[in-house]
Amino acid sequence: MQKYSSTKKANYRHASHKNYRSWIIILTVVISVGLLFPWLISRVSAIVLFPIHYTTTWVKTSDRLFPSYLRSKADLVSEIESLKSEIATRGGTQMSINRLLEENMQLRGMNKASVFDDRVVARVLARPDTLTYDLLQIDKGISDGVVEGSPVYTGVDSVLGIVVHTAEDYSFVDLFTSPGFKSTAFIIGPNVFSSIEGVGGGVARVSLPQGVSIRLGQLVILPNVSNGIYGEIVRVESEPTQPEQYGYITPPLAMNSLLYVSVGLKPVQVKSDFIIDEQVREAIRKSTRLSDVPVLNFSSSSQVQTTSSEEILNTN
Amino acid sequence: MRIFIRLIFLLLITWCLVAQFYIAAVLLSLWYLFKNNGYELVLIGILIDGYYQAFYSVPTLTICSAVMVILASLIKPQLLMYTEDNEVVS
Repeated sequence: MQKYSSTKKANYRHASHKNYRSWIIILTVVISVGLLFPWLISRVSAIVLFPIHYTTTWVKTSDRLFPSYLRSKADLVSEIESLKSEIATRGGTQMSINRLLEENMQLRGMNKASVFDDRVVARVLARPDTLTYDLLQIDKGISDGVVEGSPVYTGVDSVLGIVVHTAEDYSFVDLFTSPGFKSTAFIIGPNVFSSIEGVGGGVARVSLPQGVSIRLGQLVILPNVSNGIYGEIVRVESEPTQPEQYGYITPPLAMNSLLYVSVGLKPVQVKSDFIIDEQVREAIRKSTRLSDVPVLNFSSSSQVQTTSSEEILNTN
Repeated sequence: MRIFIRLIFLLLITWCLVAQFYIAAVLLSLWYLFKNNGYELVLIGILIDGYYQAFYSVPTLTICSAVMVILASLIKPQLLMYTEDNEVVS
């Protein structure tokens, strides 16, 4: 077996108990004397420990170089510690102030939005990352006037999604970025209508034929929703060999930073192409109809002609 | 451990207790207990308690040091190794 430098020839197991007993006796006597005559042990201690007491006092109070250096070092260390704790405290306070400021700014933004009579401000309870589906949960429901189909805004005019389910005290919002969501969008810049579809992860995309100029930063609005700016194009994917090009859009605020939203109390009216076409035709008819002008002034000579002209106008 | 080193250790422990560097005192005491029997530590405890007038009430440091010495004397044989020649390896 390897022998170490600290190996001793002494045998610990065969140590004599003499030394042990004598120590016990001495200590017992001293403790007993101390308990019986505390003044005596105090005086003895004061005499024995005087050098140490003197040294300690010298280190703590002397103006000499070495103790001053030791003291200043200790003081500096303690000052550093206290400053660290102060910084940590201030950091926490500053964090609270920043949080309150941010919340205040969001509430101010929502307050602008709530100027509209037909909107309520709602707090976001859960976001897509915490929900099973790509939905947003808000704390306003039927009791607050929220109905299915109500548009949800961030800020004044940036539309985020549509309420798809309402309960008494909460609602779920289907986001325009949810996969499978399709709508019609209008891109400001090239001024074209296009279909927008959600791709998930807070991103939607518009598809346009090649040749239409789309650039980063162009605004995309949803004409179906009044004041409905959706977001801006943040990426363009255009390959000349492909028939279509894509523009990717994100809302102005990240989903995770959403704290408050405003909910329009009037639901979005979904209209089909046929209904829109009919309404356009009706508007054209109305504008071209001369119903306010007495027809008899134009043709007083022939009643038959007047009747026939009225029929023609009505048919148009 | 040589007498000189033991003396320095004891003085250092005493100074740490008087200067209220208790953690350093405890660490030095443990090291001292491992290397020696440590009865001197009880004596130091008595002196410090006398210095702080603790014998007028309960001499806490004396009791603590006595307990430490007893515990160390119980534990230390388990921590030592012996060679075939009955030598202690510490």
